[in-house]
Amino acid sequence: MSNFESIEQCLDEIKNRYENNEKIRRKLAKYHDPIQMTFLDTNRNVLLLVNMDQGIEIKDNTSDAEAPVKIAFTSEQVLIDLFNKDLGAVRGYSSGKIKIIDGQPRNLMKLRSLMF
Amino acid sequence: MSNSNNRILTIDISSNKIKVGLVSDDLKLTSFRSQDLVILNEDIDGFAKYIDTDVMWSKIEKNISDLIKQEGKIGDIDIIGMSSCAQRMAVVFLDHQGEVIYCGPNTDVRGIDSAFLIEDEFSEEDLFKITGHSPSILFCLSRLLWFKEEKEESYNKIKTVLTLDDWIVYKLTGEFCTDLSSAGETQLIDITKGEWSSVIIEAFDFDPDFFPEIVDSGEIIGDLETKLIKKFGIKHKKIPVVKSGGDTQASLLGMGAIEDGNVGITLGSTAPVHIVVNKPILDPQCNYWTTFHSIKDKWIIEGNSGNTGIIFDWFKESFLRNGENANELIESYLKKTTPGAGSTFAFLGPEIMNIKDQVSLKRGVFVFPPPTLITEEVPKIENFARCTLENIGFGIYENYNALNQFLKLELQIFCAGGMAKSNEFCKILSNILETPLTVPHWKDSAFIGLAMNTLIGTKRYSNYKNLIKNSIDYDYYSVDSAASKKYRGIYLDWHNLKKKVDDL
Repeated sequence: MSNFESIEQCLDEIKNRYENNEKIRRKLAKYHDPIQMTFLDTNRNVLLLVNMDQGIEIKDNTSDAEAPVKIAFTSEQVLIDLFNKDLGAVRGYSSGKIKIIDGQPRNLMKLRSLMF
Repeated sequence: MSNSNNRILTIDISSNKIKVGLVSDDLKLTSFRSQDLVILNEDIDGFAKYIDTDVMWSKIEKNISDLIKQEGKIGDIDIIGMSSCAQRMAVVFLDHQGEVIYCGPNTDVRGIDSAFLIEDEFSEEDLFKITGHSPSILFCLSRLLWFKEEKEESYNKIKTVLTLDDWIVYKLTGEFCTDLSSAGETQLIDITKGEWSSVIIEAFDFDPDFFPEIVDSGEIIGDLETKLIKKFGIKHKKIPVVKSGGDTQASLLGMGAIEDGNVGITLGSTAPVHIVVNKPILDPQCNYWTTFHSIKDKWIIEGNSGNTGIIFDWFKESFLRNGENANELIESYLKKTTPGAGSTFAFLGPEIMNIKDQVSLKRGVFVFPPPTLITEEVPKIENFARCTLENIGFGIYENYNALNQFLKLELQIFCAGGMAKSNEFCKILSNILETPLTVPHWKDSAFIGLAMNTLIGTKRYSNYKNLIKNSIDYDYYSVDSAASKKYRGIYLDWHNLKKKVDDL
């Protein structure tokens, strides 16, 4: 049964994971680069602002051309499938449904448990 | 002195096969058996993978029993010793009873979730200076930390950390040990000192007793357990088990690549290109790996071309209908085509090693002139076969060129492994590399390397050089200067196209 049906629910879950999972916060203790997610089917942009282990802010329909980490999804459904575990991250990457536009591998690894 | 009845029992756990072979004491592979090694996903993400050791071990036992029965039917055989090797980076964690808690293959990247702990403690450069290996997600170090972080209960049960080959030796003899060709790929070994790194072990507060004693490759560890002698149907009561280690190092040994300046290309699932050196030379860019050869006081630097045998097998399975004769078919395709024929290019993965680009999973692409009303010649299956193999050749070429910078010596290139059985591919490779190739008669050279270690360990031979000189026969591939010249241009076209394809 699918738990996530919309991008909004996925974004809530990201916030929930950050706020309620100490391990995730510890993993991001030195992380502060803005992350931009783009959904290519709707042209929707979401900006995630992680302030190390001090807090997270999620700005829907907001873009930042200077964001050092940029991840594109071919559709909103891809992110929903990821959160519902209908799609694995590896398959998502290798099939081209998820694309890393910018970003240091080290930082992206830290973000995995938050987002995928 | 060779005895026609003498056999060395060898076990090779490669990336996707469980192989068992019998080798004569004059280094001829007399028979072998192989079964698939099943790699399982722990979750839908596909990062965490494991091997069911019960299934793997039962396949090893069956392969050995069947092989001994099969050769025994032909005539009496004497098993004079045995040795094993396994895929590098695969590790096994055991509890106090010696039971398996975890066995992870070389493709297990669960460390993606724990690598941050390493990166908080060491810079990439500092860790590379100690271990000769990067990135942190791939190796035993990050997997141990993953258990510590994500599965604390299992972590607390860990008593012993072994590489996969060490575990095979433990199953055969009941003894715990490792060797540098295995342990060197854990990211826990000091690559210069050749010992477990106390700096790393202390930094992460690992129990130093996790890590077994390091012995030399080519050293007897013990005798084959009595219960296994019976189970395998071996007549003798005492079978010495000799330590080998990493499968690639065994393969290098079996192809005769042991001297400073020897280059060994192991054409397996991937195609590591190794250059043998007399000291631990480290890549200042932290890209090319430095580790230990099986031979004492020899190191190897590795550039890995990525998935090569996997691509070759995929092509045969996906595009050739007659599976049984696929290899013959490929040979015929290569014979009737010329370099770069049909202006067809493949971009299927093989390329220069770039360990920093670890999040990029590129798309596979064929670039070719499509059929049109005004085109008379369109690429056929033989062109796609050739360009697939040329892609593999170009990937190896890029790594070979990169490794050349580490040693200003005249290099001799050895090559073995499954794809070396293709005579036409060896010609292509020699022409792309613009260098002659030395290819041993027995292409499954890991079996031969294991037998060599056994002959050294059991004191039937005193040095590797003589063993190679006396017992390994080679085929030589010289460079066709016209084809080689043509490949220079084709490679440049391929390389330029690749930049565009990489952006897809």
